[in-house]
Amino acid sequence: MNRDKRFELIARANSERICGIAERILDDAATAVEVVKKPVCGMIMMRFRDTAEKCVFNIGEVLVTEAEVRIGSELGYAMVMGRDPEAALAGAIIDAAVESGHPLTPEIIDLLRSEEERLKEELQKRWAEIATTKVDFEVMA
Amino acid sequence: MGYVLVKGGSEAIKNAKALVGSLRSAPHIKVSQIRGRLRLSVDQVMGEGGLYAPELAALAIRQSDGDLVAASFLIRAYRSTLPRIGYSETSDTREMFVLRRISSAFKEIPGGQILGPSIDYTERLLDFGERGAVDDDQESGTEKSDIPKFKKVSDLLRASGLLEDVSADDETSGDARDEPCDITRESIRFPAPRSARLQTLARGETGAMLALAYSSLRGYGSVHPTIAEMRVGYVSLRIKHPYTGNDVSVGDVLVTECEGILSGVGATEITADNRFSLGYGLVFGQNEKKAISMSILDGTMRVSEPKTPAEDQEFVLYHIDGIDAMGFVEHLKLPHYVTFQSSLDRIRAVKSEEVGEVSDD
Repeated sequence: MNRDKRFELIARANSERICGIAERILDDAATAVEVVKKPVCGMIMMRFRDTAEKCVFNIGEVLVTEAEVRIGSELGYAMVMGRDPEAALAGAIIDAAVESGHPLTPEIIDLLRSEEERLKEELQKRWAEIATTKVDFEVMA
Repeated sequence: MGYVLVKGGSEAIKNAKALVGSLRSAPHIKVSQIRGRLRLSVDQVMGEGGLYAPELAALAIRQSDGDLVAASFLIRAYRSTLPRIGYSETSDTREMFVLRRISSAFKEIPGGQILGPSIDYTERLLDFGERGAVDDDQESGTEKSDIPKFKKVSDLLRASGLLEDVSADDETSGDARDEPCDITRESIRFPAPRSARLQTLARGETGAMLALAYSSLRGYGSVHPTIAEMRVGYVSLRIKHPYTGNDVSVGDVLVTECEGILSGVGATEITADNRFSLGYGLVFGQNEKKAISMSILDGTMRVSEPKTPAEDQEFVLYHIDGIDAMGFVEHLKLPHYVTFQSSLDRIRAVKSEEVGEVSDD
C-alpha cells in the first residue's frame, strides 16, 4: 500500500477505528509523537471543468481538517472532510507510524484494508439499489 | 446631515432573543436528524453558503429556525473565519458515482436513464400517514455489482458534430487567463469572465435563480433548453499530496449537474454555424431546480445583445446572491429615524411653501 493509497483510506475510514489505533501509538512509551501542525479546520476551494465549454471554475469551498505529526525522522500527514480534529490528528499519527516502521504497522495496514473492503461493499450495495431505478422503455405499437 | 447616535434597548433586545427561544416549543432536534430528514434543505444551504459542510449546514438550519437564507448567511459568516488551505485539483463529473441521471432529449442513452432518488414521477398529495420511514423489507443489499461510469450525452453530441466547437471558447468576456476567477477573492467586473459567472451562479440563491430562469422560459428572453443530461452524484475532492505530489482523493462531494441544449427561439442567435450550444449548471448537493436554472442563465447571459433581465449579466449576477439580497432588504427594519426625518422636513417645507403661495393671493 503506497502513501497515496494510505492517505485516501485514512481520509475515508471510520474515525473511531482510526482514533483507537492512534491512541495505542500515543500510549506506547517507546514512540515519541511530535505534533508539527495541530489539527486545523480550513477550506479547499473545489474546482471543476465545465463539460459544456471546458472552462475551469470554482464551485465553492469544502470544509476539511488537516494535521501533521513527526515520529522519529518521519513526517505523517492527514486530511479529512468536515470538522474532525481527532480524526485528522489520528490519521497523521497513523501515517507517520507506518512510515517510521512502528510495530503496529501490520495491524494498521489490516485495518485500512478492511475499511477499503467495507467502503467498496457499501458502494456496491448502494449501486445495486440505484440500479433498480433504471428505466426500461417499452415502445408502444 | 450626520448620523445621530442613539442608545438604549439592550434589555429589550435581550428579551426579544429569549422570546425566539420560547417559541421553540417542540423538543430539541438533533443536527443528525436535520441532516437525515431535511437533506434537501441542507444541500441548499451548503450551495448558497458556498461551503460544503453538511454538519454545519444542518446546525445553521436549526439555529435559524428553518430560514434557509439566514442559515446560508451563518455559513457564509463562518467560512470567512476559516483559513483557505488551497485549491483542489480539477474534478470532472465523468468520474461521478451516479445516483441519478436522466435525459429529456434522448430516450436511449448509453448506460440508460437512472431515476435514482426522486419523486418526480409520483403524485403530489399531502400524506397524512407516517411515511418516509426507511423500508427495511426492500429486496437488495445482498446483490453486488460493479459500479459503472457513465458517458456524457454531451460528449456523444459533440462527437456527432452537433455541438458548438469549444476550442473556440467563450473569449468574448475577456477571460484570457488560465487561472479561473475567484469571486471570493476579487470582486466581479463586467463583462464577467465565464469562470466568474459560473462561480457566482453556483452560490446563487435557488429561488432568485429559479425566478430569473423562469422569466426567460416565459418569454422575457429566448432560451428554452432541452436537457441533454442531468445527473446527481458524488465526485471526489482531489488535492496534491504534500509529500508525494500526486493527485489524491480526500472524500466525496454530492453535486447536481445539468447540461441544457440551447435550442430555443434564440438558438440561432447564440450559435453562428447552426450547431447547438450548451448551457451549463453545477451546484453543491441535490438541487435540481437550481442546476437547471443555472444552465438556463448560463445560456441567457451569452446572448450578444441583452434585451431582458435574464440576458443581462449584471442584472442576473448582482441579484441572485441570497445573502446580499437579504442583507439589503432586511436592513430596512433597522432605525432610519434621521434619514426619514430629513424627508419629512423636506415634504413639510414644500407643503408650507404651497400654503404660503395660496395665502399670498
